[in-house]
Formats: sequence, C-alpha cells, structure tokens
Amino acid sequence: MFMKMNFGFNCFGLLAAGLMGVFFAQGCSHGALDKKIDEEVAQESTVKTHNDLTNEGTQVLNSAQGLSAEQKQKLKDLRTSVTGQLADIYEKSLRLRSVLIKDLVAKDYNEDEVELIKSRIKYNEDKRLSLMFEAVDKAKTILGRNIEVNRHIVEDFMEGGHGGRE
Amino acid sequence: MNKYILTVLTAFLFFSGCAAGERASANRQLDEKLARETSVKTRADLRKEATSIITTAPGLTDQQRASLMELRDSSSSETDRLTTLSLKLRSVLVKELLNTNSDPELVDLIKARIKKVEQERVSLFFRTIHGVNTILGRWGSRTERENQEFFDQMMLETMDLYYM
Repeated sequence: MFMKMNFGFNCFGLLAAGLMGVFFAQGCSHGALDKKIDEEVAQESTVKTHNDLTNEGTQVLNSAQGLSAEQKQKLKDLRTSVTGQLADIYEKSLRLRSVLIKDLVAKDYNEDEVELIKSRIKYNEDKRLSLMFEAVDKAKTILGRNIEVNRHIVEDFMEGGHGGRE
Repeated sequence: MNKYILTVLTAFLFFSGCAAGERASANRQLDEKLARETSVKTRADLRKEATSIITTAPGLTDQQRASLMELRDSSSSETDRLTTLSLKLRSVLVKELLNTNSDPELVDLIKARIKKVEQERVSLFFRTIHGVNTILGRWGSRTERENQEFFDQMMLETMDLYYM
C-alpha cells in the first residue's frame, strides 16, 4: 500500500514537475516574444493614423521578398476589400456615438435606447476585430501558410467550436 | 391541467411577442435617428459635436458642463492612445505576416494584443457612459451602478467567444 502510494506520489510529482517545466518554458518563450513586440511597436514611429497604416502596408507589400505578382495582387485586393469594410463599420460607429452623446445629455433620458446603442457599438467592434483576424487567415492562405489556418480549424473543432467566429 | 398549461403558454407567447415588438420599434426609431446623422464623418467631427452639445444642452449646471468637458478630454486622449497602439500593432502584424521567416506564435501573440487593446477601448467607452451618468446624477443607488457595471462587464467578456 505504502509502495503504491509512494509510486503514485512520485508519478504525480514527476507529472507536476513536467507540467511546471512546460509552463515555465512557455512563459520564457512568450516573455521573449512579448519583448520583441514591444520593441517593434516602439519602432513604429511613422504610423499614427489609418492613412499612415495604409501607406505603410502598400510599401511593405511592394517591397516584400519572395512573393509572386499574383500573390501581391491578391493581397492588395484583400486589403482594399477589408479597408472598405472597416471604413463602413467605423462610420456606423461614429454615427452611433453621435446619437449617444445627444441621448446622454437629453432631459428625458431614454435608458433603453442607450443600452441598444451600447450593444450595437459592441457588435460593431466585434465585427471589426473578426474582420481583421479573418483577413489574417486569408493572407496566410494566399502566402501558402494555410497549415496554420487548418491548425485553427482543428483546434476550434476540438474545443467545440467558437460559434461566433464569422 | 391542460387548460392551465395552455393559458400559461398563451400568456408567455403574448408577452414575448410584445417584447419583440417593442425591440423592433426601438431598433426602427434608432435607425431613423442614425439616418439623420450625416454631419459626423470623422472623430474630429464627433469631438466638435460633443463640445457643441455639452455647451448648449439645457438644464445643466456650470459644474456639470465643466465635468463633462473634462471627461470628454480624458476619454478622448485615452481613445487616441489606444487607437495609435492598435494601428502600430497592426503595422507590426502586417510586417510579420509578410516576413519570409514569419513566426506563427508571434503572429498569434500580436493578434492577442490587438484583441486586448480593442477590448480596452470598448471598456473605456462603457466607463465614459458611467461617468456621464454619475455627473448627471442618474444613478439611483450604488447597487444600481454596480449592477450596470456587472452587466457591461458581461457584455465585454462575450468578446472572448468570438476570437482566438
């Protein structure tokens, strides 16, 4: 009995140590990547507006190494389409905020309408983010890195799916 | 017994029908207001509009107007900071994606950061609404405020169901 317990404890201890090691290694690797992102963000001194981002995107795409003319064209088309859709959502969001400001300072405060505006703004923000991330997946497919996309599909499936993902 | 179930079901359907009708009407009313909002096209327009509304809104005290202006300024500069950060992260993401030695783990981490910044932006927006209501004395009680904050937090957390 004691032997069994001891063995069980050792196994558990080994497993715990192994898991801690994995988490520690992951933490270290994420720490290094986090630092890298911080440095790259700090270097992004020219991007301050949406127009800056569009110009920078064009420049990076034109000078990207190892891309075929077809890939570049597809990426440009993808960017044009996403930028248009994002601009649409942005405009809707601005209009909602404008109505909201008026509602908030109105004497006869309409709480239901304020809640409705909040939920629509939240919906727009979700849609915006979803659109951006979907574009990342599409770009990966164009670049021939769809193994990564397949990995996400498998992960989503294994986790029971993220129903909201558009 | 069957009669009882039938009555309850009828009442339930009637009240859900009423609620759906009210929602549709509120949505229609809001759509009409949005269609009239043609002057706001940029954040600068929105800021100008906010200033004009705060300055001219009837029934506000000078103290309330000053507090609202202060809230608008702080919320606006924080939104600017988050927007710039989001744009920079997107720029880093584009470069990483087009890099021949692109690191998938780094791409996922940048996406996670963008998501966090966007969540912060929505959270800031909700906090600003709370701020306005506090300045205008619309909170009936502390519990009422806490309940509202709890529901807003729930709404924010549903973002996690969408991504990653």
